[in-house]
Amino acid sequence: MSFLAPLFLLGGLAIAGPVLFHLIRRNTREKFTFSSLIFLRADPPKVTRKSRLEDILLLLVRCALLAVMALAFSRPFIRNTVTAGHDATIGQRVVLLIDTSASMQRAGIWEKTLNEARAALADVQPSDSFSILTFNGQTQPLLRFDQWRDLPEPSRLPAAREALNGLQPGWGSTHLGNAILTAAELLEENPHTGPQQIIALTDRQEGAQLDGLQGHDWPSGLQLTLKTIAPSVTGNAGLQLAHGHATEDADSTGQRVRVTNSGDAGREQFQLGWRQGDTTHTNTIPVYVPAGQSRTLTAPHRPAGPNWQLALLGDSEAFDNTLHIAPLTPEPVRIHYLGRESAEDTETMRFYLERAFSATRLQHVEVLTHLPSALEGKLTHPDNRLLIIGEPIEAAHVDLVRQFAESGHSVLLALKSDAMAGTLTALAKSGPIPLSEASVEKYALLSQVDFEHPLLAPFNEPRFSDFTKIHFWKHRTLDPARLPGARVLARFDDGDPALLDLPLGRGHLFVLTSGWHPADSQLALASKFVPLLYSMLELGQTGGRLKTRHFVGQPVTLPGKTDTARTVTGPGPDAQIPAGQSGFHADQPGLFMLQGSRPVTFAVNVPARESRTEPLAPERLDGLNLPFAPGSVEKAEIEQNREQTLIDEQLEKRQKIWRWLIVAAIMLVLLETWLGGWLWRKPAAAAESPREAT
Amino acid sequence: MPEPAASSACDGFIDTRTLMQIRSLELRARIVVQGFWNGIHRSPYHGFSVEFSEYRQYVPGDDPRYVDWRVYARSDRYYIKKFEDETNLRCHLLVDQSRSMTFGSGDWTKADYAHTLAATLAYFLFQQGDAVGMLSFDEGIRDYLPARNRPGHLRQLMLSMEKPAAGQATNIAKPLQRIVELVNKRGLMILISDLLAPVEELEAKLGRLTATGHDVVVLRVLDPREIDFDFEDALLFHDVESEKDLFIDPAAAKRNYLQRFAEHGDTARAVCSKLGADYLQMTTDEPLDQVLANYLRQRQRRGKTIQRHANA
Repeated sequence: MSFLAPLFLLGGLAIAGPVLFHLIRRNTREKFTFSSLIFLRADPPKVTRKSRLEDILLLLVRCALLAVMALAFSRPFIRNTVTAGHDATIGQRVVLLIDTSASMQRAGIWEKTLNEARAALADVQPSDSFSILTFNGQTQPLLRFDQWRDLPEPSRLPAAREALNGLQPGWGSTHLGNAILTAAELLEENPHTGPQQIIALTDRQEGAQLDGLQGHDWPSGLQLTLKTIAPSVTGNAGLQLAHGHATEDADSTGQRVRVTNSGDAGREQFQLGWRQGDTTHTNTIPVYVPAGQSRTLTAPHRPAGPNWQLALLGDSEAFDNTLHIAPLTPEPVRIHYLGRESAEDTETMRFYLERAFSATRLQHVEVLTHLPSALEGKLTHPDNRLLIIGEPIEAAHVDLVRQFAESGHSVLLALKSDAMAGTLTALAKSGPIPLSEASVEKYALLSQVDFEHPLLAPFNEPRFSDFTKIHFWKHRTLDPARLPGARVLARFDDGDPALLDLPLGRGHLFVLTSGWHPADSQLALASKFVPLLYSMLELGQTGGRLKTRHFVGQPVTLPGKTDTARTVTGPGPDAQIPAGQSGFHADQPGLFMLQGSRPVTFAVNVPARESRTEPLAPERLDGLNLPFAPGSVEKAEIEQNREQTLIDEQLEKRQKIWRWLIVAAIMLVLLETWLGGWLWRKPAAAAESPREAT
Repeated sequence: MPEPAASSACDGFIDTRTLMQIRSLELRARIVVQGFWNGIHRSPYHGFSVEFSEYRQYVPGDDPRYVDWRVYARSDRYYIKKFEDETNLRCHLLVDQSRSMTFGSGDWTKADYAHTLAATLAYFLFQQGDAVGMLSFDEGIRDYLPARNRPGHLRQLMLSMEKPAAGQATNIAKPLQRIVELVNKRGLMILISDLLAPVEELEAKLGRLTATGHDVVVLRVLDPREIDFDFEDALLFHDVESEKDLFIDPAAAKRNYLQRFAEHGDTARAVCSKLGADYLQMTTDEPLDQVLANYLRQRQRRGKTIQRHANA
């Protein structure tokens, strides 16, 4: 017999009450208060031994009543044990998932993982199909079903063990969700009548990603077993970049880093310092991080010299204690300006253009001014970004400019005068575009600014979007319909287009119908001028650009042109990047260098999620409705309990034993009432009968 | 449990049960005295309460408190009012308030009975103009009211007697010793107690009282069950005074109990007889007026008179 609410059985302890009351009652009734005992001698009566309990029948009825009530409230039912089994003659398909993420490098885990894997292999029957997948950020097959099938039966298990022997944990993140889905898809590829099983060996860390598992339609017959491999020592501290770039220049004030400590950690005191090689530490500072918390702090200054890495000292798990930071080199950028103006003349556009860019940590902008006739050979440098045309160019150079734009660069044509109409017509390769001086009464303002365009998108915020302070004294008028494919980005308040974008190939030809020299407008003096030029530089960037952070297992988009094959050197063997590709996957953390005419160094670190090594809460898995197998840890903990509870409730509802118990309790109440009354009347009747006799 | 046999009104005496149902102790005392008055027809104390007073010319050295200013106003002479105290008899009631007095097999306890008895005596004596005082005791002295016959004093006596018995043990020697120290004028001492205490010291202290000239009467109040010990089943007896429990089979212990109880009573009676003190044992089921009337008749027959003591 089982119970749905077994705690109510504790109510049976109330039986002690009646027993106690029956004992107490006897004592109180027999005690007689007398005036003085000085004439009495202690002379206990010699009575035959009998139970101190009186009215035992009544007591039994009362005890039975309480017991039945407790039994009824605990909702008993009789469980029918039905065990499901499967036909052993039909082999099962098993996918063994082995976590090879960076957190599996923790002490004691990998050895246990391999042992578990070998134990899983030992259970394999000759009729079974077996496959081994490893996973971290990506899932890789180690032994496929077809390989297993093609091997002769005696050599299958040795081959699988051999595959396991060479396996080592990597540096990637833990994408458990992807791995389980991949394994499930692998099982679904070949329909199978027998049972299918996924055995996942993982440390089940908090940082594991479970995307895609929610709501997945699991095939029937699939059972998942999550075997959690616990480390020999719990607790882990990690070091990550807080924000900014994973690079640092020589005179930097220090990098902001974040130190995290897992909730099950036993240590709270660490040291942060620079490491060269394995032993040399310098510039260390103490860091106090309580368990389950994180601290963001400024890293100490980097010592002079190469190969310094920021390191967290004092943590027993070393896999995430090193932060690789690449030295920072400003990116050179070239801007070409075509004009005949003097560099010192404050009335010219050149004067303001050359002063618009200052050197920054990230970019070094160089403005090169050429005569319109001297454009030949100037537009081939890889650092070129933007060409600004302030004078009419020769017809021979039109193709050069167009090629420059079509290769992905930006060209800005400032229509300083009506004389630029020919250049515009040539560059746009359209019909003649008449250009005339607009009649401006006092000044013109910009309106109808298209903030959706990438050029003006940076201004698409209320605090930046006010262009009304820029006065234009003069501007030219053109008909945008004459420029097929052109998009008007801004208009003057008189309706004339002020800025147009004409896409040319992968690049852009921007047409400004005015100039920024003082004779035409106040644009050069406005706060919008420099951001606008930088926005054009951004659009003129042809090659890929390095992201600020790179992690193991995630693609690194390499900068520069992809027309030739390139080489990336790093802590491991050199990687060849074929022509036309700019993606690179680092399989371990460290400093990598893209070789080429201008080498670029970038740092790749361990994913920050991998530092969250405390065990994943069972509730998170519970909500995913995973097809856990009976006997797997999670199944036993959550799912199995819940299902069993539901089954038990149904059984109990059907059997309704409690009703009969309540009926029995009512009968016992009646019996107790009658018995109590009878016993009460008995002595009273006995006392009255002699009185009546007298 | 058998109740004390209630005497009926047809006997000519007051029904004890009816009497005890009266809440006011003073009223109870008055009723008893009336019956008792009728019963004896003639007061043995007749004539004792004749007021006596005397005036004397003031002489230097007299206490000026006793100058009668009304006489001075009338006659312009200083007179000292002597013998203003008109009491002939000074009676002290020594009432036992120990916890053993709270025992009662019927509807009332020995303490109720003893209080009614004391109140009756006080009322009776007060009516005659005698001074009545009271001393209640248990293991120590609880209340003491000196003997007086002032208006309101009777009320104070009644209030004092209405206090419930709360003492623990019975110690007769101590109050007797104390009353000897307190009362230097000779008078009547009435000890109302169950005497459920060793009688060894009773002799010495009672002897001291009689030696100082006091007329001593011992009224022993007992419950009928204390005398008969008519229990049947084995019971756990609980002593109200010592809080001890004794599991006893009454059938086996009755004989020994009755013997020792009778010995104790005889000893107390012998002591009183030896010292010239009256000893009267009564049970709580006896009509009070009957007991008192019998006692007074008996006392009259013996020709014993209560000594009068005029204040010097």
